[in-house]
Amino acid sequence: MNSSCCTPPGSGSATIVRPVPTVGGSFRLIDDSGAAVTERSYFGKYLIVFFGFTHCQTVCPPALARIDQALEELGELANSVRALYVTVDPERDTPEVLHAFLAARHPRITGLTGPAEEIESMKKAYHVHARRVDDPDGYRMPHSAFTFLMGPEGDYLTHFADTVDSKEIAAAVQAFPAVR
Amino acid sequence: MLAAPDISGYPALDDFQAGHVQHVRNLVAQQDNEWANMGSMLWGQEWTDAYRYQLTQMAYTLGFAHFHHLPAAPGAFRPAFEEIIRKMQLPEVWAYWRETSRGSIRNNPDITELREGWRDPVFKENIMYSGRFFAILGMHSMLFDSDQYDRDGALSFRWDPLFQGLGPEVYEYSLSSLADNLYWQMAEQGWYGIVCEPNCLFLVCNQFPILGFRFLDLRKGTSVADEVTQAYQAAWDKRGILNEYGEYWRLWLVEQDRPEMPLEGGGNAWTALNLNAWSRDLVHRLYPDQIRDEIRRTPDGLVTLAEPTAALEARKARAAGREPEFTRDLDFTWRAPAFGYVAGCMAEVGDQENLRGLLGYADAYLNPTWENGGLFYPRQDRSFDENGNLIFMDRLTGNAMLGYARLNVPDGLWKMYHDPWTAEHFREPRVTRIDGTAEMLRAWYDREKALLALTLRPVAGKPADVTLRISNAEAPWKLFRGDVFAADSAGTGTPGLHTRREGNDLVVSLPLPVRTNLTLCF
Repeated sequence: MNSSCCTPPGSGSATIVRPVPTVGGSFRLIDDSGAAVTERSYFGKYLIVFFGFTHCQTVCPPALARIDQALEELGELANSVRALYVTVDPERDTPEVLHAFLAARHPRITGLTGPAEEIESMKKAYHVHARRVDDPDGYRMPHSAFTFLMGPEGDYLTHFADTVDSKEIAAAVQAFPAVR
Repeated sequence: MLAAPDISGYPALDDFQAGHVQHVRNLVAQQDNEWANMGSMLWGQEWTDAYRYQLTQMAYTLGFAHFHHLPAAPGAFRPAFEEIIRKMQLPEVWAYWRETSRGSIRNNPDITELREGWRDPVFKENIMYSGRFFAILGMHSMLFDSDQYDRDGALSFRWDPLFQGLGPEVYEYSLSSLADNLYWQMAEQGWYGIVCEPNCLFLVCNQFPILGFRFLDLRKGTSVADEVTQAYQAAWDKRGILNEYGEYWRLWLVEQDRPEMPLEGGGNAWTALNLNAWSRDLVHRLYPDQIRDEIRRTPDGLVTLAEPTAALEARKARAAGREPEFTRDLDFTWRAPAFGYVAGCMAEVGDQENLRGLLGYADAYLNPTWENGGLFYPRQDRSFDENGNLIFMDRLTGNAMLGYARLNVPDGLWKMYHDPWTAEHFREPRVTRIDGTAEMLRAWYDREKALLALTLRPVAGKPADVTLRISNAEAPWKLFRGDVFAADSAGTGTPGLHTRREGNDLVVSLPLPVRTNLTLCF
């Protein structure tokens, strides 16, 4: 949450704070090719951002397929868009693991991972919930299922719940001016 | 001679209902920081009878009276409702958070020291305050067709201790920024809900913001409440919302990821009551089994509460396949507003028979008191009298929840949530302002007969001069006082009653010596 803070004229020394929830922000991560990236790496493109982990059996597969389909439906306009899959499980999702997973199934989506504290920071900035749950096969990371749409300068535009379909995502992108 | 229509068949408040409404008015009319008859059992505004709980449930009480009984009289409720909203922003109501936000080793046994706290009561956590405040702000927007609290800075929390000398700090919000704040906090928590005290997630306290989201959706044409309830339900479906006896988990310790069930009484009822707004089927299905061990019949045929320890023993017996032996536990110390929670729940789920018995018990044993036309049940910290009758009375129950129960209707919260007022309602004739001290007992517009039925009486029997502003009162019209023609839009009048037009409003002034019917026919 950000705050705007000011001292209005005539109010003496009153400090007025207007807390405003924000979504998104700066990050320093590594993409699935091993390159260091920040939010600025994607300026100029609309971003479709989804958080998950490659071992996910339930939420991620349909969500990533939905993003693939939305990009397909956008046609040429998809050139103005980058889709990012940010892991909430950096311990297992190395750049190599992410690359192997995405190249095989979702080649139009870029994976992001990084140090745990950087991932935590990005999760916090996007209000993402994820919590490790141990199970007999290792562990799971139940997580939020939001898909975020960010603007060409990293600004938050909207987000979609898990019930969204690809057409709604594509329509939302199309509602904004195309980036050349 | 023109005959007045018979309006006796239209809904009207009875003396008890009107008394509860008047008591709310009396309490909120006190000067700032005067909390007579509202003092809490424990210092520090941390207990379940704190001002914030009394104030918000009093707002619900007014809301029920207006929505379910007197829909054509916003002017009878709006001033007191807005005074509650203003008082919720007084530091004495929310400043507890500065200390409470530091955390609690009692509620989080794994910590060894407290953290830094903060003052802003709605910035993070504290859903016990922010959720309720959001709910009544949303209810205000629905009841009064108003966006007045959805401006930047319309809500503010001013921290300015007299001697600190550091200058005031003011935390400002609008209804929308408060909603955004709550929404994203819920998302961060995986939709299980937002904590009250640090690490303490109460199911019931997360029902209030859902109501707020619903009402804000009505203003904005959004569907956030649907999204939130689906996500909330999915989250709790994974965890399980009930214990082994079919009771709602009372609270969840977040870091320890485990529930707690304090034996205070009324927990199921309090959750069920508020959950019923959007999850009626579940609440109605579970209610009979939940309530049967929480109440008992008295020898005089009334209904009172079973001690929570005794109720638990009964549940254990049933779970073991045995018929429970109902016992008493007169060593139990009542502290929570269980009586009010249960009464409110009975009203919401429509358990009229038990509600009549419970309210009858309140009137027989819990010292109903009338002051300045208001009805309340004064605080009594003792649990039982010498005959073992429950006599405990907390401020939340005595000032708000019994009135809430009397003014709600079956599925009343559900109806507000699912069938709120629309633009059509606000185009109808209605009393939008009352000057002078009067109780409004009836305010109903009959669309088919094009008739506005009003009944007023002086407060506490003290005659007063009253002026009513009736909006959407288009000519031609005829006004009757009692059974007698009083005035019409052609300018005909009678002594002692004055009318004038102000735009589309009709302003009626009259002396009010006794209970009086006014009927405005279009």
